[in-house]
Amino acid sequence: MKSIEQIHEELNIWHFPHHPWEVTIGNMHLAFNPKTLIMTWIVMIIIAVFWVWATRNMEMKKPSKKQLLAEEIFNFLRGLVNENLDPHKGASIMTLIFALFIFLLFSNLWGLVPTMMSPTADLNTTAGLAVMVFILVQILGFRYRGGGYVKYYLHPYPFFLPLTVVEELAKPVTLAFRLYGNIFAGEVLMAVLLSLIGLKTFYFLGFLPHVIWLAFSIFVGCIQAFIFTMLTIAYTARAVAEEEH
Amino acid sequence: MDVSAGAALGAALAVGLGALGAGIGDGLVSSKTVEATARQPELRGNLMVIMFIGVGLIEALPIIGVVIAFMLFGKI
Repeated sequence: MKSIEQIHEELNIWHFPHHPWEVTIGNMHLAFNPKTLIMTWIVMIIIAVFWVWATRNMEMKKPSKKQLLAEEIFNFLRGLVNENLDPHKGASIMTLIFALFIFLLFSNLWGLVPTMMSPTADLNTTAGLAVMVFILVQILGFRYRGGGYVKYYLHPYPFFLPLTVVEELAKPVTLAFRLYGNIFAGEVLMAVLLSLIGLKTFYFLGFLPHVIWLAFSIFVGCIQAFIFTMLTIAYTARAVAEEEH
Repeated sequence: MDVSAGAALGAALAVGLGALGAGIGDGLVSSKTVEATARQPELRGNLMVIMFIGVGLIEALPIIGVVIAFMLFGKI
């Protein structure tokens, strides 16, 4: 039985460095994670190529299969946005929601390709996305409700302010950890399975647990992309909604 | 008790107890969704969306427990 480090070493056939690239500019000390960066670029290229391919030669009368797929995903997300927000406000975040869902879906699924890694299996990526959503929600709340947004923090009584602040700060933390935990745990469990069940048992159905876990990971990747997007919509809707009295 | 034994125990407890609570919660959510769908089958789509959001929120805590367990696993 091999240790997990050995498995990771054997799977590292592209020779990614183990340590982050350290850069110091003035007083700022930056560390770049090369594997995550390269995987994010690959996912970005795949998304660009796929959507250019899917939306080329669009037709009204006789849409092709790929066009129908693109329209179906867009309509699904637009339905979710319109259910929670009024259409005028919803249209302004629709592009962000669509981009977020597509990026998360592709990057969650990209980690299932052998020797590749999901960009979202790194806490830095998910934390960046979650902080972006957090700032966006605050800005949209102020933009649509102005000073009335302060009342949202003092909602039932002013002395609940610390509780509301903690609740608001817990949102990006749980968003980031949920996505990172699910995807990272999926990849680590695959490595653990490879270390427990060697490839020598291949002819005795030793690959079955890996296949089952891969199938489950496809489901988990889609669900997590959906939940991240859905929660973004829900948080925005809650911050933007008018007081109903 | 040395550190590695404590880390092994802690990892097992984090995963086990987290999975226990999340299992109860997921079971409650799913059973209520089945009941509601049986009562009003035309609301099935909406209920499924709400169920997935609820399950996703419940699953967050055990998954954080699993991440902590992996951190402890490295200390064994």
